[in-house]
Amino acid sequence: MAKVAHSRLATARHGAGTTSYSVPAILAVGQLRTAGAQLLAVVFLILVWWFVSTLPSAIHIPSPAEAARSAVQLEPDVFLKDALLSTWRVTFGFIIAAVIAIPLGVTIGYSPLVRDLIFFPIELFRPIPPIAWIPLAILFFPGAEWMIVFLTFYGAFFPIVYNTVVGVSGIRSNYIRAAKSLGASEWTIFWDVVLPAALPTIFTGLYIAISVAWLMVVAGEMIANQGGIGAMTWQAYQTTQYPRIFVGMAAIGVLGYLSSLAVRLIARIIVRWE
Amino acid sequence: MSATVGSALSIQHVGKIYMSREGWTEALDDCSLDIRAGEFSVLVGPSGCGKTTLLNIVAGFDNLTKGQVSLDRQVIAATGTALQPGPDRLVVFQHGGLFPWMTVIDNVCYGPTIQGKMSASEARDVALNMLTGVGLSDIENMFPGDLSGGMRRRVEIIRALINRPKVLLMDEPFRALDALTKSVMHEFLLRLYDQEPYTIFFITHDLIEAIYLGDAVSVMTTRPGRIKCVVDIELARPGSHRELTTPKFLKYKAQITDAVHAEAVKAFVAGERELAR
Amino acid sequence: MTPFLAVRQIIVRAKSRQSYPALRVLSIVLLIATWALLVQFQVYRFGFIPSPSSVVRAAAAYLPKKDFLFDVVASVYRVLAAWGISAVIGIPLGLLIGWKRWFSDLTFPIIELLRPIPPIAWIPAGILFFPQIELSVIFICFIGSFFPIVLNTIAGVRQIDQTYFRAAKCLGANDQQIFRDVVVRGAAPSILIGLAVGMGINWMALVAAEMIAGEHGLGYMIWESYSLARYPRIVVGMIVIGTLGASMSAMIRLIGRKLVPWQKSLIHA
Repeated sequence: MAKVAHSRLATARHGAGTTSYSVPAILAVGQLRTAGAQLLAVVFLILVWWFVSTLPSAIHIPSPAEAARSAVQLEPDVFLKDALLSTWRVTFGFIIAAVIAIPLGVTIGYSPLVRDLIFFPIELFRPIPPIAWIPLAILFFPGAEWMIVFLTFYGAFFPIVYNTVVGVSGIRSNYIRAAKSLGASEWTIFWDVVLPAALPTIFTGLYIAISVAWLMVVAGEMIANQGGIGAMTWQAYQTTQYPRIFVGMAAIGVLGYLSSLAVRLIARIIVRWE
Repeated sequence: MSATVGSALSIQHVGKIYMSREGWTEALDDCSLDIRAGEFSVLVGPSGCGKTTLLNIVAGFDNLTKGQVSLDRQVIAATGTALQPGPDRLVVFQHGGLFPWMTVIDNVCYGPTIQGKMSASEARDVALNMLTGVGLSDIENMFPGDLSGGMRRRVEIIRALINRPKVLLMDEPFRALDALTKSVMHEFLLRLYDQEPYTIFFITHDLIEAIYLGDAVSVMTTRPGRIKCVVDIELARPGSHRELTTPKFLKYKAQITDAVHAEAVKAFVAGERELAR
Repeated sequence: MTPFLAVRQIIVRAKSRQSYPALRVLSIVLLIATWALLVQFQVYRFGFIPSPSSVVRAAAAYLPKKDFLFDVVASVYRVLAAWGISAVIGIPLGLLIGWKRWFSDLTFPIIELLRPIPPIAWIPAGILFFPQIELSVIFICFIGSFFPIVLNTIAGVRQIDQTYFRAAKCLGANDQQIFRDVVVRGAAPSILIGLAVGMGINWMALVAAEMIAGEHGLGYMIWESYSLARYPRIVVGMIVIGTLGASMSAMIRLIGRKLVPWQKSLIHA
């Protein structure tokens, strides 16, 4: 999946030729331009929303004002409880997935034997959308909580494994040869060469995994209806409290974005050299 | 020798200042160079001195902040003029500019067909002729990715020449090739130049290549770049690789090496100082 | 040769190989066997899930039926419609955003703002916007495939080396010709990857939408099987969905390889 860091790529070559600036202020203006455009985008979206809500067929869609009012009316402590519950579920499932998937990915990267014996059948499960697992998960797990955590785990598992495998097996052989000629043991080579070199790719997997994990939590919560932002949003739909639906959607988006940001920040701390 | 195909290129007091996050950088100071029509002019200098910047300005990819460039006494670049790269100043790029998604023949025919100068079938005939004339037959339906480095360079040169540019700009085109392929490329280029003496502006850091190929070799100083000196090469054309060991050649080599070496040392020291900052 | 040396030779040869097709077959057999045993002996809560044999029986009963065909057609139609619409909108949008800075400034922030909201979260809103179930399901799938397609297209344009733009300008191309011959063709491999990825996510969104809001289709069938306590059919549905989704993605990649013969490495996303 494409990971596009907008501001950096946009200011690098844009492919349409270069112009040079002769005034220093233009650089600062360029950054202001992007920020201004983003603000304009938000305003534009709100305007579109408001327009759509005035259409006669959109009888149920609240106007931005109504949604804002309902957001304010939201009991903050209940909302916070839901948000924290969802966040906890995501984090728990995500961490379990990472703890299992990364060592597994390393082993698979090192050993084609393991790959064909253990991983191949697991790979067969990949095309099945995680959401299709929900009924089985409900049957199997003793409670909604475990079911949701399992979904989160399942969603996060595959991206992490794949990226770890790619990261570990894609190490440039020159680095390994250099280490060997310097007298390093297999174990040292792993810790000091292979793992650090694979970390950027592994973090890409973690980054993808966290957004999938959020998807899974929302789906599970909507179906299990046992607390959390997903359940809140679905309940709002069923009790025709329509403005709350949009609040829920916005909350999901914001929380998802924040968690991806958290992963990216951790990546920047651990992978200092990139 | 046939009539000259190219035009005279005149670079007058060209300067270029870059804006970056760190502040101003003066890439070119005061570059002046006159290239006669049909002349093979080579520019050498240490890495990072601004050779490619100058070529980009002549090609129309970049603005200058001082001075002007004229082709046949017509100004093509000056402060305040818009950028207009075009087929009169075709470039052969350092890392290869053949479109990977087009076959060889489509690449070569691209210029004439989209400019409307030739119909598709006309262009195809001319292109096939030119390719066969230089020993590159039977590759027209291959993709550049399937060719060797040397073949890609030759195709790119043919793609440029089919447009009959007023000046051919070559940005270290043989840099990525091994020494043996390079010498074959040299003879290839010289043979083409012999048949049709285009005006060629060639950049390289390889002094032997410069002396072997050029009618005149100019030396650029380290950043901010100026043209330090111009050495006219009076060796018989077409040269052969045996020329490389004649006393005359070695004299030119010594002369230019002295000029460049001083600049290279300056560039090296400046680079170290920048890292230390 | 002593037996010991022979075994050692086998192990050495085995270690140096890159793949073990025999092992793959074995692993599948082991998986099914383990599954059957776990259910049979009701290990932990495995007694609650259907056994392999019951799944096979359910498949034999369900697959030949007309209902099955109907569900498949319904789901595939929705996926294709949504995917087609997101391609028709997303590719030109992505090309323009990747190519022209002013357009990117205008539209990209909006896309980035909406992107973190997963398709599932759109379901209630989708049902409100499109009271018709068919349209709302297609809308959710559209959300699923739209963003990968746009983002991969943008990335595809941005990774085009500036040299090719310069070469095209040198050769006399105008803006239109540059768009056709450099931007579109240069971005083609990435666009195809985006289309393949989008198809995969499309299926995920489809299952969610159908389970929650659909009235026929494979996702709905899974949920219905659950509520009617016909559990083996759940697994049948899962397998069918997985197979369909994987084959459609694979087909896109295959077509992609034909359309982009010059790109040696048009492989997995």
